[in-house]
Amino acid sequence: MPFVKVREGEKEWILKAAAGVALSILLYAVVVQPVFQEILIARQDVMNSKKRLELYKEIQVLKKDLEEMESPLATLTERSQLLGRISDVAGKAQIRFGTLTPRTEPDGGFIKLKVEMDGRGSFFSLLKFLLEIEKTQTLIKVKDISMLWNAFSKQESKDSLQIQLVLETLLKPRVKKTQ
Amino acid sequence: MAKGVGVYVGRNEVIAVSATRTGTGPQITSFAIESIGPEASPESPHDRGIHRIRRATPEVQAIFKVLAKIKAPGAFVNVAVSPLQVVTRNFIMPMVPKKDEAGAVRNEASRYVPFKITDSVLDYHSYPTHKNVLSVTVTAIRREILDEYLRSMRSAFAKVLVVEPVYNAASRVFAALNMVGKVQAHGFVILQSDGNVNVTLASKGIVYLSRDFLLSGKLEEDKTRFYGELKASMEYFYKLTGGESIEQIFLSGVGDLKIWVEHLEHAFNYKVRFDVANLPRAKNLPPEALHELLVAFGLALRSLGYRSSLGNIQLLPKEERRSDPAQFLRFLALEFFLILIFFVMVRVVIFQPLLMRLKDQKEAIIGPAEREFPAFVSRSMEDLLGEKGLMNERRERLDAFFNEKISGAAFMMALGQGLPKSISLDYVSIEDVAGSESSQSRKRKKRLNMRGICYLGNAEKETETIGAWLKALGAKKIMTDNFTEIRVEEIKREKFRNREITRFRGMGE
Repeated sequence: MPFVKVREGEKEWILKAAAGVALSILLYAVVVQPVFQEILIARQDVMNSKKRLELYKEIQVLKKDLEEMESPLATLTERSQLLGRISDVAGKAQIRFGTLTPRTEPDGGFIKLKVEMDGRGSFFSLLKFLLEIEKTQTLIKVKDISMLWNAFSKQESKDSLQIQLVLETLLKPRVKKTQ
Repeated sequence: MAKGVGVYVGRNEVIAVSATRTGTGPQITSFAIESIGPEASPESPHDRGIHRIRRATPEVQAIFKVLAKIKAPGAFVNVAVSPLQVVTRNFIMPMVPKKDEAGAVRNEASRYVPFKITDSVLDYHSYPTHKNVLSVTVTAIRREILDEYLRSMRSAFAKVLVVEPVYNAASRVFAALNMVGKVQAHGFVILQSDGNVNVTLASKGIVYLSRDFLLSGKLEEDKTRFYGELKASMEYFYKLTGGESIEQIFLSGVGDLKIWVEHLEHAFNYKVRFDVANLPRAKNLPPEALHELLVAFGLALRSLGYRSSLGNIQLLPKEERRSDPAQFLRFLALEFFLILIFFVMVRVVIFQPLLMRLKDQKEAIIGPAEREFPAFVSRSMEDLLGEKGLMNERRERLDAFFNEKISGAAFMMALGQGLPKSISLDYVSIEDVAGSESSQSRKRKKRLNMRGICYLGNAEKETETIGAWLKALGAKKIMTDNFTEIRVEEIKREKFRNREITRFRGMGE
């Protein structure tokens, strides 16, 4: 192996250069390197703020939409009034319901109210009832309809149809805000 | 306190002096003189590299010992070697541009220096005397001799800062003691233990002559020789300078200098003043021995910032020079400062504005939003995502609820309208049935069931009527919206009150 003679002056320069390089590495690690982390955090902060703001605005829009969409729904506390109204409409339409069974269950942030009705009436009284129910301010959906006519009875009667209805609506769990 | 160490390596002895600068002037703090001889050996066996030193040359051992004695082993030292190894010549040459001066001086010096310039290390001091004329004093040493000395010094763990001629060291001492005026034509005579006498004559800071002669050791014979050599040197100086006479000569070195002063003053008829250095006293040192330390003392003074009146000649090539510790530390401090400034600038100039811009961007987003929606700032991303998820779920549920809605009244009307008189329905149901398991949405389906009879008295006509009615029913919009088709599921003939009727079952899905 060839022997490389390093002179005193060269040794000193090597030492100075090594000290400079060592300090540069140290300062890079202490002064510059943390900045990259800070920049990354600041960039993420900016992006995060943008996303949060967009999200917040979307939520505000969603809230308005939901308020509009929920406006035809009754609240849980209005359940009995709703049942009373259904009963009233049925009476006015000349349908005699023997049973009216309400059932509630939670459903996607709402409370589903299912009303099973069993009674007698004519086709036209059923039609009238359905028309009236659909006109009510509270959104009520006709889930199932079943009507049975006794074709073998000798006399036409007003209550010739045996009617089974399942009505369904969603109730807001909170008290409806009034202006 | 700053300390300087000077080492003079003569032919017979090595002299080391450690000096400091005090309020009253430079002081010798310690010194050592060691003969160079084959019997010499290191005295402190615990010192590092002791085995190496024992096997080293007598010079190395002597250097090691003197440094150990002055408690400066491995110190940064200024060195002078025996003037017999060094050649000093003065000549004049035409002035050349500064950048070409070194090369021109080397070329010119090759005419005066008695060995090959390429094999030597030289330094020079130039001084413009007349218009376009340079007076140049060149001092040179053969490279192999210098290398030998450097090897010896480094083998003894000394860190050599400078190698300079003895006249520089001597003039530094006299300058430090305020004994020499710069404009005065003066000389330095240094007597050495080997009988060598170095005579240096200078004027206005220019060394015109530096030569050596040997004394025999016989006083009467030497007196005559001393006078003769000195007189010849002064005459030569007179010629070189164009008529300047030496007014003062400083004597130093080994021996009884007072005798020589008296003799020479008398011999020169008191036209030339001879002086010895008024050196500061060191402990345990007789006054006559002080003068022996003069060269080493002058070398030590160099590290304390004292300047020689005869320029700054260095016989150490640039590549072999080391900075003294203070200079080295100053360089490192400057280097560190510049690197620190660089990195701070990089941070402040490049990265800080970027960081500020990003912070401003964030503020530009957050600020107006905070004013518009005060609650926004306190809401975290997770919180918002959670709320959005819940709201989406509610919305999807509502959408599904609204989309599934069928108008029951419209359906009943569609069923009733267009029902032929021959058909009588005795059962109708519309109900939700669960979708198939494989269905992605598992959306609930509607199912329509109808049962009825048809009487026309003709089976074929009855069947045809039932089919036509179901087809017409299935074509109605409300039916097409909810059922893909309405079909006859079952059809049969039946006897009712002695009449044949057709009973059917229809289904829509």
